[in-house]
Amino acid sequence: MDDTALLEAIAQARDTDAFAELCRRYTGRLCSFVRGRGLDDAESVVQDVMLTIWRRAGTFDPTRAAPATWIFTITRNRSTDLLRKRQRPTPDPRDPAFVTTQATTSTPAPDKAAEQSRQLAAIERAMDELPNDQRELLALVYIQGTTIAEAAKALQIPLGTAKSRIRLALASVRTHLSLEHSHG
Amino acid sequence: MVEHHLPDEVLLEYAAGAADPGHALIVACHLTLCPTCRQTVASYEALGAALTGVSTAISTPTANEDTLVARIMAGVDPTLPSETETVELPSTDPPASPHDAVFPWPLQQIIGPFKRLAWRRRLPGLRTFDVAISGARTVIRMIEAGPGMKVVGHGHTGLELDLVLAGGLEDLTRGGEFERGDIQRADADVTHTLEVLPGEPCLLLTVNEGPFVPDGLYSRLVYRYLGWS
Ligand SMILES: [Zn+2]
Repeated sequence: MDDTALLEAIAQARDTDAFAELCRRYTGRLCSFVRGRGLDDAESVVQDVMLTIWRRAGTFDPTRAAPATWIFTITRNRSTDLLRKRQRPTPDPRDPAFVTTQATTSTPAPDKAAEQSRQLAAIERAMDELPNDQRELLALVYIQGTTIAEAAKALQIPLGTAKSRIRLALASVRTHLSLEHSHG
Repeated sequence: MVEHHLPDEVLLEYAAGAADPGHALIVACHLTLCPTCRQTVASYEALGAALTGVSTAISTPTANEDTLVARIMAGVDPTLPSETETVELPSTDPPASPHDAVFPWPLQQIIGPFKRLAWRRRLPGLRTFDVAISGARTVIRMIEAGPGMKVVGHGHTGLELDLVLAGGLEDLTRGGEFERGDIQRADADVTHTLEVLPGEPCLLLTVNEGPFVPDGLYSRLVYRYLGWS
């Protein structure tokens, strides 16, 4: 069974075997991802995330994003929440210094969930097309949590090369995002 | 309206949770004042999720993965119906009310409100405050410089980022003005001259790469003042 079928079995039949299989497929990768974002108690975060997936499998829409992307998005949101509560300084919308744009407050609120999954789909496509050297570098930064300078050292490439690879990767992601935007 | 933004690499490191604590602080403060970069960071965070999702080869095995799966399964209630409503996750607790709106909240959490900052007076019209954050390999400093003070270009070893929080700076070499929310950046090889705009003093949060850097904006101000440059 592929991941989508597992999620369907969990949502519709409350199939615990399917859920156990999904856990086996994802917990290792999710732990690396969470640890890479600077959270030490990765296992309890992942436990929490997987139980959220058990509860909310019915909200997964395979036409909007791949199962992996959906699962990692939940994990990212959960770890961002925790990081906000802990060490990483994060802007707070309730801060009197917080600046909002005129544009976002005056236009009607867009469908946030739909917008987010359009964005995810665009990013997935951009990632698929990324050359290996750029992807490898991004992976070091995101998963190992190294700075770009440390990643350059690990890959034995000059810092300037690493920075330009990062810029190229981000530029192509941005292109995909803006294409997506003009279509939507 | 913020016109001068943070470099992409710094935003990416922040989104990935990989940034030096000094950089993370200046990013969080700039994001408070800049909706544009907030949007960029959100897309870089999404990028991380997509990247990790597609890269199966880069997973590092967890030693007791089976134990973890067993622990998760023990917490499953098979009778619980699947939720179908999209529910917003609860947000974090509101901050204790900030004392003023000069310092963005992420900065105020570390050094307190602007009004109570224990400045060190360096020279007439120039005062500084060193910000200590554990684990930071950058030099983090608050600077307040009087109107008309000039900063002459000076070589330095790493990237220097300055966030303007009050008053303004003018770049006499490259042109352009920097006001609240703007980032003034100088790479290792950049030499240019800045002048504090007339009116009120210029309040800056500056972050310098490298532990031995004595030649950031502060010392450039001092050099200039002492006639060394
Ligand atoms: Zn910005």
